[in-house]
Amino acid sequence: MDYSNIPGFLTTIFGFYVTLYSYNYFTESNLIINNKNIFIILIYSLIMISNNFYNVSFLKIPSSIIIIILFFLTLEKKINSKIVLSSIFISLLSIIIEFAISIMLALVVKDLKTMNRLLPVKDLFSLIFFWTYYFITKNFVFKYVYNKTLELLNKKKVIYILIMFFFFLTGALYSMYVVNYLNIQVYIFGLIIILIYVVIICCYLKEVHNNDLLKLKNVCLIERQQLYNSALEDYRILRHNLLNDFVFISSVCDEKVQKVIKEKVKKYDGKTKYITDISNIPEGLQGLIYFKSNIARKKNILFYTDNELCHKQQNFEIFSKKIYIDLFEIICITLDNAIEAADLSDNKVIYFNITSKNNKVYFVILNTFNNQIDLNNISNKNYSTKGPNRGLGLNYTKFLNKEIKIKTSIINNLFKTEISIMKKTKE
Amino acid sequence: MLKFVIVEDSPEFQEIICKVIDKTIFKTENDYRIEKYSKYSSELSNTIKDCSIHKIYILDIDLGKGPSGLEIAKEIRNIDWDSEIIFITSHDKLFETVYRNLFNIFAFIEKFVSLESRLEDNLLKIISKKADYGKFYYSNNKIDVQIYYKDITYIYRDTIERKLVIKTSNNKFLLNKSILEISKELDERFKQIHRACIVNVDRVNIFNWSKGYFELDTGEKVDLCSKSFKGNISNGLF
Repeated sequence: MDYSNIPGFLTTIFGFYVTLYSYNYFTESNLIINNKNIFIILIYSLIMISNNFYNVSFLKIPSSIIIIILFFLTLEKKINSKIVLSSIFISLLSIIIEFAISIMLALVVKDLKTMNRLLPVKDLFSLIFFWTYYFITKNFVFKYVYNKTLELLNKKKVIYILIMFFFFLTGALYSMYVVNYLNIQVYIFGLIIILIYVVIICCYLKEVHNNDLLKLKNVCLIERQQLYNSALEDYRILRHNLLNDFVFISSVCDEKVQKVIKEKVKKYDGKTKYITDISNIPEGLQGLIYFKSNIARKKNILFYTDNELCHKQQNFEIFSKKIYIDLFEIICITLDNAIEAADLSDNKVIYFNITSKNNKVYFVILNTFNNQIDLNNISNKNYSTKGPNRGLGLNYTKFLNKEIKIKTSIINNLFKTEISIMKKTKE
Repeated sequence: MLKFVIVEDSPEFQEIICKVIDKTIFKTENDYRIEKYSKYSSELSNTIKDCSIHKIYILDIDLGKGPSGLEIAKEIRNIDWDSEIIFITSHDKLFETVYRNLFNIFAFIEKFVSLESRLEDNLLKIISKKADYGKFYYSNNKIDVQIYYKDITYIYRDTIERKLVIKTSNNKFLLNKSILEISKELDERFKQIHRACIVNVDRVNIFNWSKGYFELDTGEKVDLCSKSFKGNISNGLF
């Protein structure tokens, strides 16, 4: 080791102090600088200096990241993924900031290559870098990014993608370092590539975040729905028993009192909208039914749902994602057709029922209609009762999935579509 | 012979309904029988499946535990669209409108609003109603169709589409059949009055043979009336 580089060693120690403060800031931990920790800092500074001098070029940066990770694991005296992630975050942040400062320096200084060979100049640059790093990282933006990254610790898939991203970024940044300093165009080009990659990763992380939010909202919605259905069921039973009790009381009273009781009973005359409990079917289908029923109601169509699976206290699961998605699509198209047909009819009624029989689940959609139907061409491609450039929906659903059977019929003034699928029950 | 099927979990109400039936049917001299159930059972299921006898169901909707009156009504309609169903209920208008339209429910009677008198009126209406349950059936690999004869106004051959058109009060159905083929599937109320038209005479208000049109009870005027087929109407021949 070159002993004339004592300033370099001191700069490295300083760098570890700054990293430690930065770590405390991001993780909100209280790692203090006591005698024992000073000793650890000294040891790791030696290791870092050795890495800078003696390691193979392309391993310097990855090794320095590993040294930082080990440093914090030693200080914390425990091993967990949060410490590792925080260390990687701090290391990469320092590399990115150093890289940005290098770019700015390359724009200002003409002969950077010569400057780079002078150790005192290099040490001075490092000092400036560490000071700059300390103040820059106090910006709330980095803290925000850090906290968001930490939320992804529970998601293995996302962590693996992030780890790959970290390694790519490290490699890319390192490649920038070993290229000729004078060649500014290469730097800028490399920086653009890295920025594009960072933007892609940020978009991906944003989608992951939005997905989590949606899941959370969905859980809240389902909980509220269950509470509502439970309350509705309690109310229904109470009302039923109350009304029957009124009958009994009325039967033992004289005519005058009976009239009074009848008047009182009118208060309990059900004016509630009857909403069926559909919590035992997959959530996506629940959302679809609620969504389509809202569309129908906006068109003044009476949309009534029933769920016999609930009455039989059965759940059902679809075998595979593909079948589920196809079933969803078929029900969606059928409901759209039902809404369009009912809208044109005089009575405007749609009835949606879920029932089961002989190990099959049936989705039955009944709707009123007022139309001209060619019984031989119905569900043929390009045939539609709704005008030209239509006529793909029924044909498309017919051939979508052979596991899902669709049967259509007309009973007097009602159009009935029966969609059936084998079920896997969980009782 | 009429069969009254009462499904009601309250014994007091069962008695009230039985009294109303006895009082109403007694006036009409019809033979009848009453079956009472407090809940869905295998016996009730067998009664539903037996289509040999005309039935009138009087169902309470809330039956406590087990299938409700609604589910029983659905089971009835899976097999039998000819029996009449009366619901005894306190549900709201949304429910009533949907079920009246979709399951052909004859009446909804509220328990605490003149139950006896309203039930009596509705039973009289059912009994005096002419039983007319004849249906036209059609089936292919795409769709099954059943339409009450009483809903069909007329049938004609569309020479442009080259298809047979069955016209009902609200809809039009096109199919690949001839007038001759379909005539074999209809009952005596349908008469041919034009080379390309068969009409349901029960739905016609006026035949104007000189001007060559007929007018339906819906107000629609149809120019498919030929003097050469006038004999079918006057003779009662098809």
